Amino acid sequence: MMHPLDSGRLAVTKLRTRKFRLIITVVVSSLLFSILFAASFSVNGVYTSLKEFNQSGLGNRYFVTGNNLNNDSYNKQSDPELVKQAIAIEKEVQVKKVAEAKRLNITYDPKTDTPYTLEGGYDGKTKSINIDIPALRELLAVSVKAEKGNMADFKATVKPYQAMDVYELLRSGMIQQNLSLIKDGVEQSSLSPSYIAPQTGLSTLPVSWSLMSRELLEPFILDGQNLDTGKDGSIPVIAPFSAAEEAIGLKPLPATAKPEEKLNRLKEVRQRSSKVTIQFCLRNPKSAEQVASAIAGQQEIIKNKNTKGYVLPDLVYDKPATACSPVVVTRDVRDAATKKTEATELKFRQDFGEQKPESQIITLRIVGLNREYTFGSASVVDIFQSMLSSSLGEGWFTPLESGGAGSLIAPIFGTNDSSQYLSIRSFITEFPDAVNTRKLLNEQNCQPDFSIRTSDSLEPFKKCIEQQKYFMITPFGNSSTAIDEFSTGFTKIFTIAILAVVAIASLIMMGTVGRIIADSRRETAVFRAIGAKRFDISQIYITYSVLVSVIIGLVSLLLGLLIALWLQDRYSDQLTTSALLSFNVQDLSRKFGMVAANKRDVSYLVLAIIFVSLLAALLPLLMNMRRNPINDMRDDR
Amino acid sequence: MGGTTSKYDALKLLELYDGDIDKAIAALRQAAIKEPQRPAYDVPVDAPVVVKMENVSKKYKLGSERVSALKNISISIRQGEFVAITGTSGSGKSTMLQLIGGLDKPSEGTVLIDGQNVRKMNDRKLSVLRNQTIGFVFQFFYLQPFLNTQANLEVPGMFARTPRRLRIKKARELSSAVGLSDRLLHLPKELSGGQMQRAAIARALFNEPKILLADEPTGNLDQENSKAIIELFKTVREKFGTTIVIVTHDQTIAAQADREIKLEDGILLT
Repeated sequence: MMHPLDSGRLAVTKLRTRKFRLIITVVVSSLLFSILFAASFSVNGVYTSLKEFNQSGLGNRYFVTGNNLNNDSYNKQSDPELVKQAIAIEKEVQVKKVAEAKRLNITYDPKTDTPYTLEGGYDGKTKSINIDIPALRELLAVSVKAEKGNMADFKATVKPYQAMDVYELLRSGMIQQNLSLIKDGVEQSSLSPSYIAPQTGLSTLPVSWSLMSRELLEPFILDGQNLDTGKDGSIPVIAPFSAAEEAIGLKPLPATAKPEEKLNRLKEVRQRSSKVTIQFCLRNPKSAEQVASAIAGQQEIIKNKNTKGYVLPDLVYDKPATACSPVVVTRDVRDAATKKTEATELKFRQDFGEQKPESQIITLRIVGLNREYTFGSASVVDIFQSMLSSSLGEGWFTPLESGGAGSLIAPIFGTNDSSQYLSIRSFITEFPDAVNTRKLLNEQNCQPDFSIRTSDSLEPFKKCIEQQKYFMITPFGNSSTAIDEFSTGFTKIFTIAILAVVAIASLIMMGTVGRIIADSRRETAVFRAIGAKRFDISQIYITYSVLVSVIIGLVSLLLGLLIALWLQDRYSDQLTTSALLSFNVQDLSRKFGMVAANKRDVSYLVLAIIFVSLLAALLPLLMNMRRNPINDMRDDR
Repeated sequence: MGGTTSKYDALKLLELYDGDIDKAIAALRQAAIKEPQRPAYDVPVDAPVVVKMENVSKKYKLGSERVSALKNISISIRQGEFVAITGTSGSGKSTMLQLIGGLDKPSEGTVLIDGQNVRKMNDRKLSVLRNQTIGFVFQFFYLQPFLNTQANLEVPGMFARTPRRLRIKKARELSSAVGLSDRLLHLPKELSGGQMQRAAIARALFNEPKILLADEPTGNLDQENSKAIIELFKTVREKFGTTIVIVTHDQTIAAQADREIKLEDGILLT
């Protein structure tokens, strides 16, 4: 074996031949490897930043949420057993009503009653119970409550995986109440609890208000705020960013706003929203119906003002005089007998379940900000932004105890009675690490098969229930699990990419080394004649190949770093803003870096490049090893 | 041999001139005028045999045919001898040089170089033999174009793992001996043909070989440089007692050797 310095010296002479081909080889291979270097630097930069930012909010903690599949109150409404019971109750009530009407001497036609069962569902014929009827709502709630899938079942499911505390989330979804914003002392029109409602701003309250265990809300509260119900009765709420913006009176920034504008907006909203309260009027359906009816009546009167022969109704209502008060009577010319009869009829209806109109003002106090559910557009940044989500989920959040039985907002969540079980209830638990989290997700999650289309709306869930899996379990609160998956996924993709690049680079380099060896056959023959062993010759070409790989390595490292820095320059500001928003970071001077070196990735790449050089030298050397130097000298003659 | 021409040579000469005896005589006279001096060096009678070929044949495969390049050759060359191998193109002289140089093995017979049987040596041992015992000089010099003279001279030392300091010293001595001490830092392209061949000879002498093999060493040089190179060979032989074996088709060079080995169609004529 030659001294490495001598083989290096002879190998360097090879670098001076076939320069154009060498340059092409170096450029192409370097470009390929530089992409890998850049990917590694950028992904690790993002990963490192995510980990750092993830220390805030609910970040860096491993949560899962379990949504009950078995106690699905919507699907339960078409449970044939409940439908059967509803029909029985309806008959029984009608019998009683007929008797009572007779006793009170008032007219009663059962056909005018709200039906206890409805037809609908997938085929339009599936019968379901009408939960507008309080008795049936209670029936449904009791049925739902009795099914498997309650908190005790969830605890039993997660316990073997070293789950820590179990928290609860209660959504307002199924409770029929009317909320309207009070703006400048004026009650606005009712916010419809529609799921196609806009997903930003104050109007999202009815569709996305949840009660949640206090412990999970704490990381989101603003400086100087607390989660207690105020002495003035104000309800603490963590509001979506856009709702806080609207409450302050700011218009949302356009999507094209610059990162610093977004950051300034974040600062402003944080500062100002903690001093803002929002007032809503909560009306029960009967109260809301009366308001709507009064408005419609007034419109009718205005419409017929000049109509000849138009006679004003005996009883006329007008909309409430002040925000959230009952409707006012502006005209009542009924005779005493009519008044008495109508009062008797009202009592009759109310005795048989008709609501009494109720309304109350609810004051919400913004104590924290939640990340917007829908955020940004489909851009490169979104790929990373999808990782940036330490949030409670969509919408508004209030601590469970502020919405408990007897509280002002209890009717919204049904916490005064069993109807809370009709709301979407989720359980949340925390794990010490990603391993247990992933294990639970793999083993206990059951995804309903919504591709099944039958008249039975419970069918998609049946498979899960049969397996005694009562929960659809998903990661919650942050992307810790996703970040870990991302890291694992990246390693896999990165390994495949390295192999692909190694294969391509090897082929390119093999061609070059092969050409150099072929070009140098005469020289090899001369070296052999003056005493070089076969191994000495191999050593020269392997050294040559290693030298080329060192050049490729250095060029690709530099190029990769430049690409990563360029990406950082281009996207870091946007990601910083997103991350600051997403993780509720208090220190707004923090930056979201996008360049970091990972020792393992860099080592892999360096090894890959060396491997390419050895592989590229090996085959041409093996092909040339057995050549007779005499022939090569003779060829030259 | 000496200054006379053998009967065989005369016949060959006549053949060369298509039987025109006048032209042949004129050519002979011309040759006689140019007749150089015999070597001054006397090979000791008891000098050891460094190259010995016994009944050596060499066959090559040329397509589907087997061609005999050498047929039953037996020769001995002693230490310090200056031998010229001559013959027409394809006569087998280069093959013989390669066998002597350990670059090839005989198909039949025995080749002993410095007492070692080439046929029984593996590639590694043959490489060491070529590196330590034999020095090669080629017609086209074959210097590494991107190494300067100094480094070119050192190449055999690199393969021998000679320490660098010693290599530098040796290269300087050798370059001085061949008159290239002012060209050490020059690249081959900056040297003349004669200088390149002198550098190549210095390279061949680097490991102080017992045998110096030269394949048409003057084939690419003008008359003046050719003469100088031959003189250099003589000096090397006188100074180091090196055995010189030259393959040439130049009769004036062959005539300066102690002995001429003539080959024709692989057969030894003298």
